[in-house]
Amino acid sequence: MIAELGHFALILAFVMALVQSVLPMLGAVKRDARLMAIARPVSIHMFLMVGLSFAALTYSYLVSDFSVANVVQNSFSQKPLIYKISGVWGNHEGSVLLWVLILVFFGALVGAFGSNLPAPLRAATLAVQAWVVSGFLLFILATSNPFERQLPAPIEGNGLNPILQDIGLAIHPPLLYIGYVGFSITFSFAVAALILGRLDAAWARWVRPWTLLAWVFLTLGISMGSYWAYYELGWGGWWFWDPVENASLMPWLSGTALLHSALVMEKRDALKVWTVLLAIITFSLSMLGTFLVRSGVLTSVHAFATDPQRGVFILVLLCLFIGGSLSLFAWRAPLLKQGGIFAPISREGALVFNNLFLTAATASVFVGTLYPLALDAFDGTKISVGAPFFNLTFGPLMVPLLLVIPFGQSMAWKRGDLLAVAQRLYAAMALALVLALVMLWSWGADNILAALGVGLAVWVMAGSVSELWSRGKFSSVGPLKGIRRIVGLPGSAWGTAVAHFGVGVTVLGIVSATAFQTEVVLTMKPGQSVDVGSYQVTFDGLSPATGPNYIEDIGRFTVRKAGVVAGTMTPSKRVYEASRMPTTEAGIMTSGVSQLYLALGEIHQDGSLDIRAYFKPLVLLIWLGCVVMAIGGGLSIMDRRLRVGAPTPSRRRQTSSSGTAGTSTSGAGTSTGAGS
Amino acid sequence: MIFWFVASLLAVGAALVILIPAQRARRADFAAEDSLSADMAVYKDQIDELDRDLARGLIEPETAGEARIEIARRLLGVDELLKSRSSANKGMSRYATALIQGAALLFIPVASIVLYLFLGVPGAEDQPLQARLNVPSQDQSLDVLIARVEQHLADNPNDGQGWDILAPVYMRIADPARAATAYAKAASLLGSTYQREIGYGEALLAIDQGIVNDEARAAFERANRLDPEAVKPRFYLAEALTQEGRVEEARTAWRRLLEDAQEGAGWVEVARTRLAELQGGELATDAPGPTAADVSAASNMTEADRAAMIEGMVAGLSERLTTEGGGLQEWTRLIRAYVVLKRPEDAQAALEKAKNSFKDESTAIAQLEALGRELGLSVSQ
Amino acid sequence: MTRKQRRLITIGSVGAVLVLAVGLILAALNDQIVFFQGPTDIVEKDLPLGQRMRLGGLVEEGSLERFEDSRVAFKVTDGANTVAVTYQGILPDLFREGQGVIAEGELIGARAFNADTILAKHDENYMPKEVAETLKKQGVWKGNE
Repeated sequence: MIAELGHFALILAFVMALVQSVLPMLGAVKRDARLMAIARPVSIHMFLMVGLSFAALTYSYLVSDFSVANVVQNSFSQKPLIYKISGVWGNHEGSVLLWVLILVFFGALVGAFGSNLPAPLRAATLAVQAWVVSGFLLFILATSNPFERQLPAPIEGNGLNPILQDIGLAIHPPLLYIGYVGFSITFSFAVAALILGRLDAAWARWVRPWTLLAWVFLTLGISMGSYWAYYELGWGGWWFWDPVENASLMPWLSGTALLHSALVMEKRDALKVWTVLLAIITFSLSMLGTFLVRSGVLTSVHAFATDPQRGVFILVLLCLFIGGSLSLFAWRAPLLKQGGIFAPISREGALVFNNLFLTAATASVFVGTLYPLALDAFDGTKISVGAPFFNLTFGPLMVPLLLVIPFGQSMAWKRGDLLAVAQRLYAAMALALVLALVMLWSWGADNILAALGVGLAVWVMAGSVSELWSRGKFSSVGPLKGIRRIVGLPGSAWGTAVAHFGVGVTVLGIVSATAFQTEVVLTMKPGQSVDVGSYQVTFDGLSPATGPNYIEDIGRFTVRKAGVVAGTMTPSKRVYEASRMPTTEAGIMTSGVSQLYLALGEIHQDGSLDIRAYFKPLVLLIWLGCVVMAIGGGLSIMDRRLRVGAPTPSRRRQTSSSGTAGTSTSGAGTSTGAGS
Repeated sequence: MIFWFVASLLAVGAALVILIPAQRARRADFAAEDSLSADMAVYKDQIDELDRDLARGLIEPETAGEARIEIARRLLGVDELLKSRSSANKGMSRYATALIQGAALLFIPVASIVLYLFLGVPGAEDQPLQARLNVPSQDQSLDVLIARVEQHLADNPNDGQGWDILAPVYMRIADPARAATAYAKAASLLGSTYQREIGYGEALLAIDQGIVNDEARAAFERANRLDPEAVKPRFYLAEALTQEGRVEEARTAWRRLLEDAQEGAGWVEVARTRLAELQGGELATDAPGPTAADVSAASNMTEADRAAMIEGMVAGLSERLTTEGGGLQEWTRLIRAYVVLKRPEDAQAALEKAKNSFKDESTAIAQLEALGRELGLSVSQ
Repeated sequence: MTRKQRRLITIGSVGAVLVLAVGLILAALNDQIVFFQGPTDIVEKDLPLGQRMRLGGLVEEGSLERFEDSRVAFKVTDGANTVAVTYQGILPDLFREGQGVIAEGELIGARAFNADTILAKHDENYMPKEVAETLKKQGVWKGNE
């Protein structure tokens, strides 16, 4: 009965989404308060219904109800509890349901917390959100129904892909989905504003916290996914330019651009057309990512659905939403009024620069991801576009972006003074240069690129610190007051500095782990030792072990540094009972933010085994930097300015900056450019 | 019934979620200002921030002035919008009521229930695994019983009794690999017994499709030591010798076995055939006979089943020999089989056919005639 | 600065970044993409030695040999033709004889290939798409699609 109720709740949610798609939109266009009034409660109720349905599916997994086909295909009675839960979204049907759950969750958030929005905009936004919800619920009900029954029920399920039996998977897709589905709200806002014909500074201000929220989750999701691949796949790499990874990177890049351009729109009423276009593009890329992953067009680590019927269905949805919104854009955008003007050297100019490079980078990832597919479809030639392509295109596009971050965030709105900004950044510049030269001197000229990379990372970090520092105006107000000034800076100012600092941290991790890593591949006999970086790794032997649902061979290694035992490592090879599939569990030893990484290969008859060992200096900074970026985003969301807008006079005490002073989250760069 | 009750509650809830707010909004006036006051709030707020920043010295008075002018311009824009809108359409009260009520009272309940009837399985109960396993045994299928024991064993892998129970059941559902594991586990936990060893050996035999491999032979040898009188281990050991081509030893083994035989036992005929083949000096391995696994399966069967199986095998052999032809040895086996099955006419016919197919070979004809005489068939033309 | 100048600067800078991006992409597409070839392609097309490519097919049964220092040699076949592959490193978990494989590296002889990357996918039933198509073309594999 619970499974059937879940099914019914899902259908009810679909029917409500249809109502929500039509009535509030009609109300917003015709200015009818009653039609608009249903949007908020319905958005919340829809979330409850999809939530109920998701809970019902989870229940079926928990009690191993093998009369539900989805449970039979993806679960196993002896599976550990945590994987029964993560199994709910570890398959095609469940993951699309999760996708929709997050979609309606964001709708409900706007319904619940959007009291500062004008009624027509809110109603229209929720209606557009409901269009997307209806589309994807129809997709679920028509092609991927998780509540299909299998009667009579078999007594045992078919298990779950063991590579998906991992704690990282339990957290990874929900986070990633929250990120890229979150951009649906920005999309809905943009389409609603185009329909209502109202796009101005106030709109940008209402949209920005939602964009930030989605961006924070996507940042965390991507970094967690990267860490998962790093320790689970046993290849020692942390980013593979796999199409599925690219599918999440593209919305992140354009979402980052959107964050920055919405700022210009909010402060100066400029870049309107561009911002709306970015909002549409960002969610379109999210949907494209969903399509790539779910349709089976690509085959990669994450692609567990291959069903042409589903692929075509999502493709049609995709064309409908993307094509429809872009046509609407083309029709309505020319009606927008020109906004404020600004000099090329200004905060706005810097943000335009940021946008140019971020979109160019998005485009390069887009081409690299889709070109092979297009070529295959066009003349059947099969090519693979791998890391070298992206290193050559993405890398050079990132360098100027990073170079100008410190300038950009220090620049004044409207007209900036490059010389004054440069003077403030002397210390950061000097620090970066000195460090780069020291690196060059100690590592030799061969590592010139690495040294420059380190310098760049330090430049970005030091630039952020120096920006905060200069806000303290210590020279004029004294140390105590200066500190108070810095602490009292608005959340968005802190957010900017912290997020940009995080960018520097990640860059430092990437440069260091790439340029200075040590890799050793060899066959080891028990008792044999090998040097990896400054560590000495000794292979003590192999021992078998049994886990809850797998058997494994654990390699025991003792790690010494300068003769002193630093620890033991136990990488293993597992075979899962349900599917007889082997996986590699890497052994990782962390010291500071550097890691020693061991992965087992073939185990030979004589007890020797192949191992792959890496020493990756500062590798943890890659992910820590992402966390710092997310914290920066969070600080920005917390800025009370963003919650302003409701006509409540009690909101009198916001901290913070103004329409023109340079204090909010910003992007990079000097460069040229004028408003759109 | 509970399902429909809860489902209608959900549908009613959905309808109310639409009806109630619409009802409330009817009382509120739907003035357009409402929507634009939010815009005004944003801009007023921006001016407040500007003042505050100026007071704290975060921006220069000059830039603050410029910004103030810009924001004020936006505020004026909202005002103009407000005026132009005040004369605009203020709602569609007539249609709105119909739309809302139609959606809430008609569309939502009807569409959701119709869709559900179309897609769902109304009345299908949940079947949590634990509940299914807890149903009393006599009401359960074999699968459920097996799953129950398996679940028990997953929690208590050292319960030898459980493995003992499960092992023969696996054999019955033709899963010899699991049966072998189960027998081996039972033996290692509770010690070696005749039943466990013979079961283990037979399971291995079934896995290897009738070949007695080294491990199986070791099991049969252990079983033989545990019960030297028992026929099965001796039968399989003889079979092993035959398969290995150790003709002399195999002959002795079969002969000894037949000496102790009780008439009518299913295996006796196989043993005789084997012996006959060996005495013919040829090795049995080139002629596909009933595999030991078939025989072991046969010895577990009821009389009727066993007869049916043998009939099936004989029919297959006859068919093959008639259409494709075959060796003398195979014809001999067919004829003997017919006699054992008490089908003398068929035996006679088979003899004629065999003679026909060997009509150019006088030694073969002679052997066939000898066989016919031995079995009491008519050999004269 | 006049409005016109500003616009010129905008267009100029957008154009510059665009040219840079397109240039980078084209250059990279020229040099950095890797073509996928089956054993038959390699035999028939007479491809130049030293060119990077991906070779896909089935690992021939019984062809895997292991040497010192994790060196391996095996043969990749599509039923019609066979190419010998050498590789040094750890083979992926799912590398098996008789299963699909993709090797990336360069051609070092008419039918000899030196791989620096070996890919086998993470699903027992899964056949890399390119490999499946190559094999279908040669009529070896009749997948369930």
